[in-house]
Amino acid sequence: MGKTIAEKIFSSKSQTDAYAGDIITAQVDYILTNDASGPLSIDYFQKMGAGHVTNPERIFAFIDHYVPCPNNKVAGLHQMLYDFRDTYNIQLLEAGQGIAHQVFDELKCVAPGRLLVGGDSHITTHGYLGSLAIGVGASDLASAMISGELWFKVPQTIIVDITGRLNRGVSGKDVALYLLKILGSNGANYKAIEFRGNGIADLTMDDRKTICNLATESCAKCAIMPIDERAISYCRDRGLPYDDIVVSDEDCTYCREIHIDLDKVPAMISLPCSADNAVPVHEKIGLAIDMVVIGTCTNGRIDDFAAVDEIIRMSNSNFKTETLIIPASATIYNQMIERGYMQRLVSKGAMILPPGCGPCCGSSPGTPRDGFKVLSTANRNFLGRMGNVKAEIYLASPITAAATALAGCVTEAERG
Amino acid sequence: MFEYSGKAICLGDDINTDYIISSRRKKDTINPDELVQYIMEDIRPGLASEINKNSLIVAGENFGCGSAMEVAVQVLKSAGIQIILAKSFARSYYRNSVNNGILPIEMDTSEIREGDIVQVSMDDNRILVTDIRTNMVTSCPAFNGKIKEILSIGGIVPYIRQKESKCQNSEDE
Repeated sequence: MGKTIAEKIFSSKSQTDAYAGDIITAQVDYILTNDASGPLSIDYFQKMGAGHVTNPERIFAFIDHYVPCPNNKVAGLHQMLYDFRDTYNIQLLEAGQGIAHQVFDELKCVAPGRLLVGGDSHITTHGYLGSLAIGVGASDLASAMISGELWFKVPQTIIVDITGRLNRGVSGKDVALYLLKILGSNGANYKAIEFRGNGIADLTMDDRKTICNLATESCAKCAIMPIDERAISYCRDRGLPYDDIVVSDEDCTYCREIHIDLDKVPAMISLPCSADNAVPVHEKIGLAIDMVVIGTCTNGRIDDFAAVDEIIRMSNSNFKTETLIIPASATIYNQMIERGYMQRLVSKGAMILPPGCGPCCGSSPGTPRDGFKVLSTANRNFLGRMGNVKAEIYLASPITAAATALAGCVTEAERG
Repeated sequence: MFEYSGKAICLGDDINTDYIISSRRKKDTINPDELVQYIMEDIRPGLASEINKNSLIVAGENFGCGSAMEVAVQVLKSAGIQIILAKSFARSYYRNSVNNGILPIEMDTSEIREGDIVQVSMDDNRILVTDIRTNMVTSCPAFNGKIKEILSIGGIVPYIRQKESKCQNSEDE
């Protein structure tokens, strides 16, 4: 019987003949944690009493949620990570380097066929390059650090067939929200999402990251893009191994098939308080917006800011909203400076925040005021998510966010 | 055989981990005993003072969706919760519950009302959930495999401790 990509990677990592529903113990290639899950994980680690980690060179802790450190309590949590690094020689990326999911990728931890686990649900991002990337809690993370392995239930797979070409002004974010609308907030619970189809060729690598990032909002265990020519040349350019390309068998079993025609995907916006509560942007045009946030692990990459720059260069006006810009990493920050984006953003009235998670989950500054309507490029718009229950959060693409910041209300980007 | 009886605290669908405990509170502490006072403050103010070891969480679909943050399980554990009944659990919340020794029981919860006394009994074959008000009995499959192993010893911490000490002993031999 044929296998899905998830079944194949789990078979290979567990040295078993694994199919959906099987419970297996698999070797983990890389482990990711951050200053939100890390301290708790260390706490579990101490209680487990093992006193050792397996493969410390493959365990990465990122200081990204609370950046720069806001108070002495968090300073203590950050110190826990430094102390753990000093004792067990794990890798630690300091505040200002960027969001875990971006920097993990820049550090070349992500490559086709790998099994990655992280104490952060948005690790699903890394399926963009054919890795099986799964979010776990702090206790699972601690046990994986100790043994280098973890038990899993092999998931069933939903196949998403993508055809057609993106319309101008539409990006990976819109495809992701469109898919979420189809799946619902738990439509992929316990399941893997696998993508296929000739439409994928039209999606940039950054688009693919955004789509896999948002898959977790349907509760997906992981989301996996196929390795096509674009992905192979991306691996080659970055010196990543691509000898372990995993493809699903023709006779494998999928639990559900979804088809998305990119030509039919409009610019989308998620209304409060769930990412799957998405509608076409044109239904909300004119809705007054007080704050725009562009960044996060969903949409803080260079392609995203290139799209933003293209929009703002076409306009003579300044931002009419409070506009926060958060590059996902120091590398991206530098690229934005080199390309002149920063200067144009600041001259329009934007505030540039340090690389990290920013106000996305209320962990770093940028809290909206009471009654604020926020349009954000992030991935979650739960009540109170940004630290104020009296603010409403809308989610959209960087293109829509930039056009909205210039207009002061929800706007569809001009289609040149 | 395991028996438990508790008073239902009923919640709806899609209760995410940010609603269970807000990320903004973790800026001050990650100690679940201190965070207990903020449980579900944004969606159900006052719940923190009602919840105790005689409470049982009864939820709808997709309980614990959103972030994988484990403190959202620990905080309920600290409040005394031993069992969560839900129509479905988000994947990571289910794992985290097991790892912390909380029993996540999947079942149709639609007939259970706020304040109902609910009895849970469990043996090797099945879990029986009885709502005393309606006398309705729901039978669910028992936990098995790795999940049963972890739950029966009280969570992942004692589970790993036991495993590590076995490794240690075999190395010593």
